[in-house]
Amino acid sequence: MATTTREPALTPIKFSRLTRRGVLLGLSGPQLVMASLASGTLIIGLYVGAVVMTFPIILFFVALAFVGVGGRKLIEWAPIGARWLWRSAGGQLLYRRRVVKPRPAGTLALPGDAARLHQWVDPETAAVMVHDPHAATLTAIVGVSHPAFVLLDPAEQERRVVSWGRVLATACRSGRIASVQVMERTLPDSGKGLAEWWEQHGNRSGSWASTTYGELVDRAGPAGERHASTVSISLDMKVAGRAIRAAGGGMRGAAAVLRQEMATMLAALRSADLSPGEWLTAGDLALILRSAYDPAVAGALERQGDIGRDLATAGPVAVTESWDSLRSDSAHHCVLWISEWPRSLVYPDFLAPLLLSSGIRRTFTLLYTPMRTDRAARDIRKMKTEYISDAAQRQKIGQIEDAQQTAEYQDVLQQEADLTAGHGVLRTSGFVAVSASDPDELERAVAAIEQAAIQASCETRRLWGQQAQAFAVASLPLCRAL
Amino acid sequence: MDLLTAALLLPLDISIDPNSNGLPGIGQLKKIVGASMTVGLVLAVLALIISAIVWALGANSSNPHLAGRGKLGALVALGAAIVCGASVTLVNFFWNVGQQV
Repeated sequence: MATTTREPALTPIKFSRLTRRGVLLGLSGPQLVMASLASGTLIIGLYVGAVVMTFPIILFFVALAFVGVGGRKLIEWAPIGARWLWRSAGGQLLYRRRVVKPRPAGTLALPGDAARLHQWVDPETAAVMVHDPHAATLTAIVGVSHPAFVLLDPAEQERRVVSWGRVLATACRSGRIASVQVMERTLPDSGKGLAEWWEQHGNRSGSWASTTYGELVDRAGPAGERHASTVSISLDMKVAGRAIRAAGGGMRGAAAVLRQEMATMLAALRSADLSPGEWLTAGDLALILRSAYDPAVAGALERQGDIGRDLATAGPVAVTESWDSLRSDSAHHCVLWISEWPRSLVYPDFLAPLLLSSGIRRTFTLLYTPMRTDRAARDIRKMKTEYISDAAQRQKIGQIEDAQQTAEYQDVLQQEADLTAGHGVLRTSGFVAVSASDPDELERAVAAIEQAAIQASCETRRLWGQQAQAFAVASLPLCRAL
Repeated sequence: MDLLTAALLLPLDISIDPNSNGLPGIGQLKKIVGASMTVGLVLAVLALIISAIVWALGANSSNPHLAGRGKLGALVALGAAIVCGASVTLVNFFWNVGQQV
């Protein structure tokens, strides 16, 4: 078997499903709490002898547990709704920059829970490192340029997919990395480069080919958009505490440890045929933050090249959050969460419809959270136990076995097999932040992105009531967690 | 003699109601049964706690059999508490149904 040499081809892959496993009788934790409250009320009513009086209360609990709205049960909306009410009561949905009052030195001028972020410029690499004192993480960002993947032959594609898998495995094995974020954003391009190149190198012989080419450049130029990708790695300072102390302690030590991780990451990226650029300096990061909140000036700042590169002022001037979208300086944004990855076998370029959708300003973010191998193994063991005991219980009470549950169990088994084979387990979350200049256009863009996601066989969900926080996750390369 | 036969020929109209003074100890019996209801409730809570412990043990020691037992125990304890509480209401209901006959 091993001696047969086949033409290497792309291997289709399958993602694990989002588990919909309940704790008991297929009910989730919150649902179970509500059902227990309902039955507790019934028991108390029976013992007191006022069972009819308790029916409205029981009905209320049952409705909370079993009435579904928008793909979630009412009780699962409760935390989101409560937080939303709390924030709106506290006036936290509006952010206006206090222009006169200076911010503390070294902080980034961001709203919400990103306000606590500090910058630290590493003296050796001149890279900017973003420190989150609450979550104890330190993040560095590198710009990555990549050759076209779609145009390669299958064998080469397969090789690249495998080596990208190795990059992620490197992140998993190090154990010190809290998360890795891959961000792909579209930037409006004035098409100046294209037109200039045609001016200088174009062969205007008046032939049919050159005429057609010239017309194409004229038409495609203004509608051009560039894609820029960044990879951010975030060091978990609690886990790497010993190494940090050994490297001199404090921010200096943490920066030294992160530098090691950065070097490892760079080597891994290069081996995956990606060409990483320089580690982003404070000015580059300021530009990204500024253009995320204020896309209208992004082009101008790009062209100027030396203004707007101050991190202390590179935040939004105003942010207004509503239940379904977010408005910042010059744009309306909406964040979608990829709730379901493809459930059937797909080829590695399955995201192409989503990533190559043109004419829409959007930022696509993949957030990988490596899990420690022992913890992942324990989680998988627990899940297996639950699935088997649930199946036995269903058999006992005579319920039929759903294909969904069987498939989820197969996913768990597959994960266990992969883990035993030496792979790592990563939690992958995908977010798409869509931006447009007015609400109607935003709705159209969101609909288009949802359609593109369906073509890419993913399901998306709007993150209702969490837009501001999700926007910081999806369109800032700072490895924020939701 | 005539009087006796006449008395026997009269239609009998029997009406018996449950009473609590026909036999000694009825009141005490009611008390005892009421106490056993409380005992049943307390034991159901105990069973629920024990089932939860068994379930947790099973889940954390990757033993599906134990975990399944714990889950079943939790459900049974809950059902027992409901039946215990509803017993008086149920018996009264069926007594009333019987009275309609």
